[in-house]
Amino acid sequence: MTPPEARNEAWLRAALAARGLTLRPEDAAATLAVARFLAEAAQRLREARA
Amino acid sequence: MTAPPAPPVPPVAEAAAALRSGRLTAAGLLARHRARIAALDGRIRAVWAAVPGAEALAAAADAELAAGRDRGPLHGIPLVVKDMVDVAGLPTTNGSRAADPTPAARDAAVVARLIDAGAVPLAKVATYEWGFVGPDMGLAHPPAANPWNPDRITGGSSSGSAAAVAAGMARLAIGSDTGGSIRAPAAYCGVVGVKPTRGRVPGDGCCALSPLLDTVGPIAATVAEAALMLDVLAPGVGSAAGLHLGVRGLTLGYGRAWFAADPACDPRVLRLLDDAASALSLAGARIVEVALPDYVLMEAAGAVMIHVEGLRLHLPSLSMHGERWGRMATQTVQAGAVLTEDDLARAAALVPDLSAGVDAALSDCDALVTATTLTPAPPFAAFDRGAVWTPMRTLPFNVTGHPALSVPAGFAGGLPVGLQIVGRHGDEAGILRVAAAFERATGHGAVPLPD
Repeated sequence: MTPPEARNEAWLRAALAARGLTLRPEDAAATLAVARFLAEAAQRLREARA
Repeated sequence: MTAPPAPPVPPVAEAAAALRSGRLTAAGLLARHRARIAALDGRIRAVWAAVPGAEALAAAADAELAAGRDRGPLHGIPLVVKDMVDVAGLPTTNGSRAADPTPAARDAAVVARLIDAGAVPLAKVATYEWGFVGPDMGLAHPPAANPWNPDRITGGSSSGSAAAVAAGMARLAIGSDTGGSIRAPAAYCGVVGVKPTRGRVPGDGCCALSPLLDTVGPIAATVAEAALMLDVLAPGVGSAAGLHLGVRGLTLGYGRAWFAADPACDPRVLRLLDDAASALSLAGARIVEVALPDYVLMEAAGAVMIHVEGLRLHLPSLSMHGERWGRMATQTVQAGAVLTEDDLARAAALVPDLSAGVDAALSDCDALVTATTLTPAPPFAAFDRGAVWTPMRTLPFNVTGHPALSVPAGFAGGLPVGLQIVGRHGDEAGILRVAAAFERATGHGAVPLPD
């Protein structure tokens, strides 16, 4: 389950590192914007299933 | 001295008649396509590679017709192929420097079916990187430009397919659609794009983005040409046979509130779609407003599916060759790391309810009509600082699997707008019938480009 802290850059950086990926500094803001949208989408799905 | 004129290539029916009467050869028709591409593609940037075997296929088509063998309506007709779909002998670049440069050993199933029907794949055309997102200016090829205004995007990811058809370089193109990648560029470029029912057309030999949602289908200049191509891609659909039937006696559900209440909806688009509903009413259909399932929830389910499956599929390439990936695709795929397999399971578990909601809207209607995109094509300048969300209403029908198409519905500010038509599972013939009636009633189809 996507945790609330997934909206945080440090969390995303760690999640990527766990997969062998690096968040490039120049991509951080844009990636985090998409990640926040996805975290909200996941939250919406949880609420719909509740 | 000016270059010789290179007019748009002729409609399929006109070319087919000329091939059979001897007024035109398949080789000559192929040369006309190549001339049109040579004249325009410097500005449009739709075409990435010529298919080297095209001339031999055209010659074979001519020899067969001369010998009395006729493979049907697409015999000798050229078409272009999105570069996420394998054509034997050419690498499938998927718009990425990270793609395997090895030439495809065999044709994708859809390409093989078209060749078997006598068609002639002549070129590989542009796609957004791995089908994800664009336009990204930092890739090996600059993004295709909208033929109606080269300062505007085509939409994607079947960007070259829609641009090539709109520019008169081909009448037919293969595209693929995971969240709107056939229908959105078709709408932005003023052509017809069909996303068949999920599973209707084989995806073998096509790059996967999200196997739960991926669908291959036609982009064409007119509804009739899209139907001819779909009938080859999906034998048994029989969509071309019913195009003349019209909409008299049909009930069409207008999903107006589903898009009109969105603050992102351009009022000019709303006016055009209201006009489209009126035109269908005048053509004899009964129009009723219908409620559709919560768009935001449908979009959430689709987005989770795309990003979980996308990261899972592309993790090996991204971890080994990440430096070759473009920035927009990298950002999009890596953002999927916030999601889990549980999120994907939750999205998949919602699909039956969401699909039932669309089925309920269709229970008293023969088809649904709604927006494809909520704006005309945005300018490239809007993407200067990275990917921008472009509002549309396409992803829900990838989630539910219903067949859906986009047909031209007029112009806003000189740019095309599309009407989306959605049908029951398996009823591609029904939505193409409605689209053909709409095209006849309005004359919006195949509008020539200004000089």
